[in-house]
Amino acid sequence: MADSSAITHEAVFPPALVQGKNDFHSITETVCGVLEAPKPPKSWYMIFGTAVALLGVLGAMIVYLIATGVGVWGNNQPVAWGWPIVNFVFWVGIGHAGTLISAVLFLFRQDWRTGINRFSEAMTIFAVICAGMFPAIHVGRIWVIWWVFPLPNQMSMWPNFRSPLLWDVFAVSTYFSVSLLFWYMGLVPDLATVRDRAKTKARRFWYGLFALGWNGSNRQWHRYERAYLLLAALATPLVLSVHSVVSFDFATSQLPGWHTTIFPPYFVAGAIFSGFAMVLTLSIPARKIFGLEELITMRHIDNMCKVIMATGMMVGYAYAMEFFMAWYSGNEYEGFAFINRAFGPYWWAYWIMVSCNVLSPQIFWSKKMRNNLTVVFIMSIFVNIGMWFERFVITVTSLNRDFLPSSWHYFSPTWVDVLTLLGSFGLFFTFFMLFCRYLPQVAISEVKNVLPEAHPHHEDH
Amino acid sequence: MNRSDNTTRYWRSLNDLEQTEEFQGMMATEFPGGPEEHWTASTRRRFLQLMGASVALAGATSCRWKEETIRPLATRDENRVPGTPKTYASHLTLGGFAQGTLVTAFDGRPSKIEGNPKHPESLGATSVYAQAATLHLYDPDRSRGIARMAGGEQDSDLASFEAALKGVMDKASGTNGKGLAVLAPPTSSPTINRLRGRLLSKFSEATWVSYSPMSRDNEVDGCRLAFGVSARPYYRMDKARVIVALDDDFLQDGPSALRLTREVASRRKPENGWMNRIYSVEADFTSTGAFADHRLRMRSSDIGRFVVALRAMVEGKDSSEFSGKAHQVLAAMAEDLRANKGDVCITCGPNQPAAVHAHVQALNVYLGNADRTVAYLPATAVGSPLKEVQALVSAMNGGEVSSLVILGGNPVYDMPADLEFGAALGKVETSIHLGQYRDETALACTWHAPQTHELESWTDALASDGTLSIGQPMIEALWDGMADTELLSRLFGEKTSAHDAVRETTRLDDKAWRVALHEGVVAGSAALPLNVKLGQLPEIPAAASGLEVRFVTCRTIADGRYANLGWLQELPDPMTKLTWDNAAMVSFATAKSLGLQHEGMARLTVAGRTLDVAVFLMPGHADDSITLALGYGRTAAGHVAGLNDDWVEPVGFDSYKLRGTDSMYLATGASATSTAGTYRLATTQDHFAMDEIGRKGLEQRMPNLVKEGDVSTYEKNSKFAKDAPDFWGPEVTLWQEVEQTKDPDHRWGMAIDLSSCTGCGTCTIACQSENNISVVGKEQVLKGREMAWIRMDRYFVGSAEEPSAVSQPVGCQHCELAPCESVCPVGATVHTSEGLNDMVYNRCIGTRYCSNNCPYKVRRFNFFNFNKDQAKAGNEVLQMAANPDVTVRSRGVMEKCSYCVQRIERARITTRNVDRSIFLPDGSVKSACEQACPADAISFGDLMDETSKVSKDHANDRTYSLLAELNIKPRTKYLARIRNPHPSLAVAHAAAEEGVHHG
Repeated sequence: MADSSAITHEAVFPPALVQGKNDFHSITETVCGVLEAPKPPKSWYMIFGTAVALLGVLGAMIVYLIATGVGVWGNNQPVAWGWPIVNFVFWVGIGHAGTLISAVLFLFRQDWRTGINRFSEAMTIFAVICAGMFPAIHVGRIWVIWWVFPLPNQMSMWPNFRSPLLWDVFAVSTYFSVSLLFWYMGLVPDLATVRDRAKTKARRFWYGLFALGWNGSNRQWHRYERAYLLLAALATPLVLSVHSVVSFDFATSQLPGWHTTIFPPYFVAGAIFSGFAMVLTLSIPARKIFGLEELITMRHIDNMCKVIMATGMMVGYAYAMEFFMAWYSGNEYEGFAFINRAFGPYWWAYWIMVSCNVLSPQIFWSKKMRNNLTVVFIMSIFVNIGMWFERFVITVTSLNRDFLPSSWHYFSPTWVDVLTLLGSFGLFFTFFMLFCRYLPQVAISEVKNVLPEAHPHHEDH
Repeated sequence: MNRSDNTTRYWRSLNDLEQTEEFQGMMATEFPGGPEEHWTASTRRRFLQLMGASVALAGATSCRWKEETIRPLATRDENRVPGTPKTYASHLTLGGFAQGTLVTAFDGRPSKIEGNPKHPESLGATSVYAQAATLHLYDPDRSRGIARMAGGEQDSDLASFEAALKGVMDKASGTNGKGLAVLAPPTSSPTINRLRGRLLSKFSEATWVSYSPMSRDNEVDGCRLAFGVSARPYYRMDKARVIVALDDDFLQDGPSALRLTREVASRRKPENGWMNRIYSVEADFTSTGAFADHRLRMRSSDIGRFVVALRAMVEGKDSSEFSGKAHQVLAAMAEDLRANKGDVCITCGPNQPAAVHAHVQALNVYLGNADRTVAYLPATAVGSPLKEVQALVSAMNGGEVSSLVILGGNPVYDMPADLEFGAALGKVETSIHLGQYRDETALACTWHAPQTHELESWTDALASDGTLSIGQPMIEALWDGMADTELLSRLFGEKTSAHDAVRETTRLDDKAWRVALHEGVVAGSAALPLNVKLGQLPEIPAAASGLEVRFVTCRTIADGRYANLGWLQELPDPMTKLTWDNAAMVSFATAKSLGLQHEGMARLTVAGRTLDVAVFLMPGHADDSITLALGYGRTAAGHVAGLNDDWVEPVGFDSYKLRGTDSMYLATGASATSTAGTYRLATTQDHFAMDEIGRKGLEQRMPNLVKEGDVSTYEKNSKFAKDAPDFWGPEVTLWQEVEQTKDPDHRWGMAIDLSSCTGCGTCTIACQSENNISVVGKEQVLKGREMAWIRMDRYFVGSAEEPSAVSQPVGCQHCELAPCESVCPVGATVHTSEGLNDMVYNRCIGTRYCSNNCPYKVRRFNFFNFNKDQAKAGNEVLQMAANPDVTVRSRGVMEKCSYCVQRIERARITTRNVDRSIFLPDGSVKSACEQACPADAISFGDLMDETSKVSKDHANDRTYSLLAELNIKPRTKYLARIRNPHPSLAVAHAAAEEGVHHG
């Protein structure tokens, strides 16, 4: 007892953000080592090979789809939106953690973000690419998809600004461009570092090209930090807006199960939830494979677990509230939609969702579990599965039984649906593995900022 | 033409003067063939003047002159605007009887069939079969020429075929016709019957056998038993206060179905005074049963007992033959019949033996209905007795038939299985098949010639009341077809055209002929009722116990003749909602006792014949009874219904294999066992076997979706349909409503009277024909991708054993605040100032969001290019069935009901051209569904015109909007269904209503 009551340094101050005996130089060495190594680790080849193969599958599926028609999927009447839209919302959700970590946590001066922000921003970009692909290929006539953009044209056509799908177009494209810009801006000093260390002409040229002539002058740093702050401020509302707008696709319609005001916050919470889960899924193996354990530390993982637990409970609250409102409204269609969700033909999907999203994160109340990488990794996969099913439950169970029972029809996916989803992971991991190999996975300059050396007057004075 | 007289005469050409053979030959035909100078402009103008400006009178211009069809329209006729449809009166026959039609043709290309309001058995409505006639005409699988079938199918020519016919006749001449037989479907056609008489008088030893697999001849036999004369009962239900249908789906089956539907439905509107009361006692659940106020399920075998008991009860005696619900219904029925003597009507269905029919007619006579609600007309279109068919087959087997001429029909496929007609046909030296397809029979004959479609040839036929109508060709025979009359005339060594043959039969002078063509009927030709006297009634044979199998005509593809028409294959059965298949319909209890599963397989055995067939658990089906629809399992129908030669699997199961001469309509002593395997049946609505949650949800919401009430409910509160459930909120709108912002010329709207709708599905096919709706196939239906713009929803009410059912046609409701419009990102679905919810196909990119947001789920998406087949080599002719006024949709776009906008625009253009007026009188725009509806349940028109039918319907007390609580303001409104139950049964009914609804 006496031991436990003693106030330790650990208990008051969180562990350092950079573990081990790292200094400025060693951090550069660690991060750049990954991309300067003559050959990536074997596991990189395995994952990259699988991803490229799946990307090939995706390509084949898209060609087949465009050549044949949307009917190759399981979509039907009344389930006009099936897996493609489920996948879209799933990937957009994943794409959320990046901006949250880089912008919101930046504004809140959460220094621990520095270890994982590059990583999660990259994940965001690639997830949004996957997400954006789905609405594009899911339309019946992809060859005229450009009609959703307000481009002046000789046909005097103009999009319908009342449609949430159009809001989606703007929300997602804005999010993508701001995220890309933010990510790229953060990369510039690091790219310059890589350029400066380059031993071949090609590397010098390419990294030099993208480093935009960065020379690390005081003035450049000053402007860089100003711009970074501004972009962070610009990106912060996007964290809330993108998934709110995505949720409008559902919330503004009049379909029971979709037509609920809780959707925007619920979707945002769910998106952060799934985004963090994906960051964990990616970073746990990555830090091991590339030897970044000292930069992406257990403290990062612990924090992320806490975020997952918090957002998981928010999502759980939303699930409960939906039921309450369905009952409280007295609207029989609404009531039926939710009873049907939980106990109807798709009950299994609903309970997969609840167990993965609400029940399984509860394990993170235990610090021991939060520090057990195997447990955390498995939980992060569970959350990913659960969040995919959440979108499936919302989209498909609401549509398959709406107002008139004569139109009720069960939805079953086809092999094309399954392979397209798998293929989208191929697309994601292809990008991601390329990123791991060719770009600094950790923001070198920012991590250096959180070293004690960066603050000569810290603590001891 | 005859130059026997020596008087001076003018001559037209040297040939005329010389009277060359060529000239005489040319003049011998009504409309001479040959070069066009014979048909001078002046004669045509004169001709057109004679025809008058009337559109329909121009009907005769569609006769088959080669010149008309092959001459390019280099100089346009007066008043002829290319692309403007013309309408001609004609008819289509089924079961030998005519239903009058008006055929719309664009530039000589028939593309739409409507009913002829002047025809007594159409009254402006059509059947589903008639609607599909254009598809039949352009079916690419139709036979495209004469073929020699002996020793392998081989295309041949007319000369060789005529030589073969000559051989047949030469042989027959020597033997006085012995060895010559003709097998033809029974028909009322005076011309065929005249030629038949002529043939039989020329060859006294020849035989002519009429056979149809779907006759209603039991009623003729019944009349013969009861009255001693060959007669058919002809019902008039508009005056009938009580109607009892005994195993009879009279709303769907038989030559009078359209008229009876109209008559019955006209007395189902409570605001129009008294309502009729309909009882249906039947084995399978039919539209008539669903429409009836009281339905009693009963094995077909027990109907005889029921009739006897009913007679006893009507006579005031008590009968203990039945107990429970059957006895209650019986008592109520008897009371109603007694109380309304002379104003009641009892019908009996084709599955009942002649003796039962005799008793039913005796009861009709007893109740004083004769000449009031039922007339007895001389029987026409009667098939040969089965004995004669059997005799023909045994003669064929015995080698006594050397030549058999099959004039249409498909006996190899549809003869009773025990006759083994196909084998017998092989023993006939020369067998000649005239048919529209190279079907099962064609393949087994030695010769085949393509038969003209009724839209390609002159025909005549009688309506069920005896009224004569003339069928005009609308187009030159597509594949050098030959009419049955033309083949018959060749048997006499003549080449009389179908036109001449029909003209010769009718004996109408020119004027009367033209009037007949214009009107579509020969006025005053209806048959006079016979004066019948009841004779000794035969005993009704005791009801056989055990399992029975009933053979019924398919409600969508008839006896199999329409099997290759995708529209009809994909039309859901009115009750089962089954497409692309038939199945053994069986009740839940019987299935349980026999161990049968829904979508499982069963082996049925009747008199040693077996059939493996899928099982369909049908709510409300009688126990110990299995209903099998005929017409499926075709092996040489075509690329739609099955074609062995091209590896196209047969669609459905061939019920004929189970049918024997002893069990034509009803097989008793049958057995059924469950066999291994399952079979997926494509229904367009979830089957009864739904999970508990779904059933409860359905049950809860149904009263607000399909509003129903008894007469008593209506009398207490005629506006009961407008009662809103508690959870409806106030109606607030975010958008400015379109119609308030503009000043429209019209406000289009529709009203559907559920009290009249019988659920037959004609609207669906009419819409399909009018709007070029694609057929998607069984696989796609299984996936829920059928394309019908107006679908017929069917809901069961009550338990699985004793349900009642309601039908509700649902198409786009054209909401004023349409939820589909606001969500389309590209504005492909927009509102017009006149209230139409328009779909802009070229603008649509196919996000399908509109469909998600449509609470009625009436939007249909082109998941694939469903019209791809039309572009295939050889299939191009299918494109001619399309309505040129309506876009054929491409893959990837959404489509839905347009309120027949093309008809609105057509009427608008016509009216503006005539009097520059924007006013469109009520009735000038009819939507395709409205026009075809036999029950007159649909009204469409301008809501700004307060006198229009639709305005009045919208103002009706019974009117309600479907899902009104969503505040989307649908322009289509429904009129609540009112039932008229017998007071003693009303309580029981109310109790059932409290019970469960099922889907």
